[in-house]
Amino acid sequence: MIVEGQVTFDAPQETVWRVLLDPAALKAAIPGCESLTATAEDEYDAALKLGVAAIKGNYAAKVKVVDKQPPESYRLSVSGSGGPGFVNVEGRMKLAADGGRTAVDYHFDIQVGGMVAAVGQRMLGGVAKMMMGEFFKALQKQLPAG
Amino acid sequence: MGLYRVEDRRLLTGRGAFVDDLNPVRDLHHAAIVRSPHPHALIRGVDAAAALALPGVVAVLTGRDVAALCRPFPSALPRQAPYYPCAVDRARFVGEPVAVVVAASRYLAEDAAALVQVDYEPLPAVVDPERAVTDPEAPLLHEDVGSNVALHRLLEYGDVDAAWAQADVTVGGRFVFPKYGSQPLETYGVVASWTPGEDVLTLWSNFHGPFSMHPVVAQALGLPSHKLRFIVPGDVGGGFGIKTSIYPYLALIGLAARHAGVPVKWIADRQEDLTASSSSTDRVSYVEAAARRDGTILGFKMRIYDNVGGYFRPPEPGCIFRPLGNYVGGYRYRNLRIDGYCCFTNKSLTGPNRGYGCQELYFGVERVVDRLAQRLGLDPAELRRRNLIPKDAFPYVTPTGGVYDAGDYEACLDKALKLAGYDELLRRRDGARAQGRLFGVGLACGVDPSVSNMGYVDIAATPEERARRRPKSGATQATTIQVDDLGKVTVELSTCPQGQSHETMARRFVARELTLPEDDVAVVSGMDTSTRAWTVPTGSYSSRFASIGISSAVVAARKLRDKLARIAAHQLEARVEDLELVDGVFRLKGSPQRAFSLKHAAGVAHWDPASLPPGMEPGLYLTHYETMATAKPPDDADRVNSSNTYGFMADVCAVELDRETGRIDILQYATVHDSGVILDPLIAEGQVRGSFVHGLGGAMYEELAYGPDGAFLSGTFMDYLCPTFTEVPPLAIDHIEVPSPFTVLGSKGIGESATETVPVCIANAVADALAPEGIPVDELPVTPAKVWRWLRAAETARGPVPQGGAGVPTPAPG
Repeated sequence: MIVEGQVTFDAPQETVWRVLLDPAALKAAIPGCESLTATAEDEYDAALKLGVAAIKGNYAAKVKVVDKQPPESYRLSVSGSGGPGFVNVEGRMKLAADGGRTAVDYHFDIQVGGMVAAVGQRMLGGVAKMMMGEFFKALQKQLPAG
Repeated sequence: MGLYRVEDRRLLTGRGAFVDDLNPVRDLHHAAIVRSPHPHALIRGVDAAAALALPGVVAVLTGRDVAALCRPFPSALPRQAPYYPCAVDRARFVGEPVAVVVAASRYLAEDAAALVQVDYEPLPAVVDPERAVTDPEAPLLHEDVGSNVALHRLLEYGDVDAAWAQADVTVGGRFVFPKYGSQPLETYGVVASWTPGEDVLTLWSNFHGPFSMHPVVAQALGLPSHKLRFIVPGDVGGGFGIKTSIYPYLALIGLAARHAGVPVKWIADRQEDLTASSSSTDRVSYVEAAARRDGTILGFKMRIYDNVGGYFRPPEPGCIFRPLGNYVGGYRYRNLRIDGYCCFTNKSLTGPNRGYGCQELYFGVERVVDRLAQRLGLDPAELRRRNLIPKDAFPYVTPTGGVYDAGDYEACLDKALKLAGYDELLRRRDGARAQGRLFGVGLACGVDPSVSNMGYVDIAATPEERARRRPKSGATQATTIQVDDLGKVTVELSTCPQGQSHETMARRFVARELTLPEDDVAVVSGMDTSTRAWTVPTGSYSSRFASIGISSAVVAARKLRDKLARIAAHQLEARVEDLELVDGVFRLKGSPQRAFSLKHAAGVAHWDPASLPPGMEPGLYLTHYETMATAKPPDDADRVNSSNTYGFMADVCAVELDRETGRIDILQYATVHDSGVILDPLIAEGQVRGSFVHGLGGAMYEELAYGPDGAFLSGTFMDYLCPTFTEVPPLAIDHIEVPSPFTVLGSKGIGESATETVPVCIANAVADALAPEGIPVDELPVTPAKVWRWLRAAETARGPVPQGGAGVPTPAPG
């Protein structure tokens, strides 16, 4: 499943770049994120509590940020698994200055398996979009008031 | 006022005894199965410590444990593609068992199963059978096989090249048939108990045969076959073929019980049944026909990619070969090439499912027949009529070795056309079409095989391979009858019914043979391989009851009647051939006052054996094993009579599609069957209705869908749509009755019938409706979403439909 789009932040590119890669800001913004611990440079272990329809559960995920081109782009991969199944995400973020604001192009290739896919696939697209919206909205709040 | 069937009162008042109702041994524990969420993954480790630490958990059995305790199931590829009841080091489909937890309750077992940590290393997956075997980049499922071809056979009958050389026209297409199952109300269920000391494994389950799976399980478990006891309760809540394939779970739960040292019950939940019970194969096929200008079909070529999922398990490759004898359907052409592949993919496993192999076969064939009609400008009914086997040709030997027992196919087709009002439907269609509406009329014919011959399985091997081993054949069914000292009769069936009224029918026909009231006959169903009569083909599958099942009961009753007649004749000092049996009394023909009742004859055997005819054994308990003389092994030319009776059905369907929404309305459906003598009209109608609805599911609703990444996408009834009462269109049913010369009562199977033709008949109707748009219908299920997409694509290609839609030329697809 591909989820992609563009979101504009009311902050300069350097600031958005910093917040997008700040573990504390991310922990606060990622829906259901209970912990986000750095294990190495640009690598994190995350504990997530997520629900799709009736299928709720805990996931342990590994997050990796690669191909960093500050302040323009990076890729990230997330592989999580838990009782209800697994989720793998390959993502790409592109930042571009837009006056004093910053446009972020995102493109995520999401693979979901196990019970979540078997019983929740009708909802997955909507749920993914909703979570993406929550994430960016929460991130905007982390930005210094502009 | 009694209910119609002897089974109904107990079933309708909740007094049926199903496998989940059984608590046959004390200290019963419960199992939950840990299943792979990955379509394809290496299993690097299974950590059960947390699960085992939970109070009440007795044992956790992993794939490694299973591999140490049992052997792969016997199959055509036991070494190169070993199939165990649990994944060992590698999972090959979503839902494949990875571990079994045994605990004091199902709740505990489920909780503990969630604590089992499995370390997976995901691998790329493949789900399309054609891609699996033709794309060199496709991931391999079994390295030792060297490809994803589980089995390949190229079979040729007649002279196909010569047929093509003589042909005026050839038409064909590529067809995609979906994977669907049955979803009986009652899911898979097993109770397993290991008796130490005796070393007997007893397995209660809703398995319904064939009992050829008994030696399969015994070999896998390394158990002497007499130490493996299968017990089936009298009530099984539907099966439709898929419960044949419960046997891996029989082995798995059996191993769990032995390993844990406690008896274990496992009842599948609905998700487990959807994910990993059994289904028919999905199929990609290339089907091509050659014909003369007058419509005479000269031959067919079929290249078949059948998807058996992650492993190849018996009775596959039945998906391809079970219908071998009836590949030509009702047509008389003699030249046929079958290039058949069973393909490994990362989908769940397959096996018999109502119609086993026939709906996949007829989908390609009957779509091509319609295209041929279109190409030649002939009415599809007329084209079919010109090719049907004539009624004076029976018994008819097909080029593939089938022996069609009896039939009048043209009469059946004509009756269906009349029942549907075919000519009027065509007029309505033409009128609707002139207004730009999407109205279609579809037809389908098919031969409905029943009572499969065990010999067909051997087509998996080449004639050279077969020559090196003992042949297989047969279709035997046993019935045991006893008469007690007061003349009451008990019939023990070996048919393992799943709701098809076997008890009602056996009671009626045994009572009839003995001229007793039906109340004097009790019927016991279910099975116990340690105490009851059975043999490898025993069971309820392949529509066996109406033909061989009831035949065995009737002949058993006749044998017992004849013995009682000899006792009565001895008492009457008369010759047995001078006696007649009327209302339970043997009497001398011509002098009815000289009489001796059946009840008293039975009393003599039980209470006074000294008065029996000299040399007669006293027992009134006998078993008759009925088999079919026509069930022979395959010959050197790969011909086999894969079944033993062959019915016929002709279907007509009218649909209208909504251009804006893609909605498909079945306006009318008519199906006419020749199932030989109809034993009971109401029960026959129930079977036809059920088979219709099952076929409707395959045509429009049911699909075990997978994502291209191998994720399983239909784990609920919101995703896997079973047609319900409201989806069933007006259905007209009729029969013609041409008695089978091969069965005792002239009857044939009927329970699968329409399932085989409904998918393609609906497809043909939808294709006819879409013909003005130039849209071929080469895949099922046809859903509103698909029709909508096809229509939008056609519009894009051609521009929007002009107002009113009239005057759009009819292109000829294919």
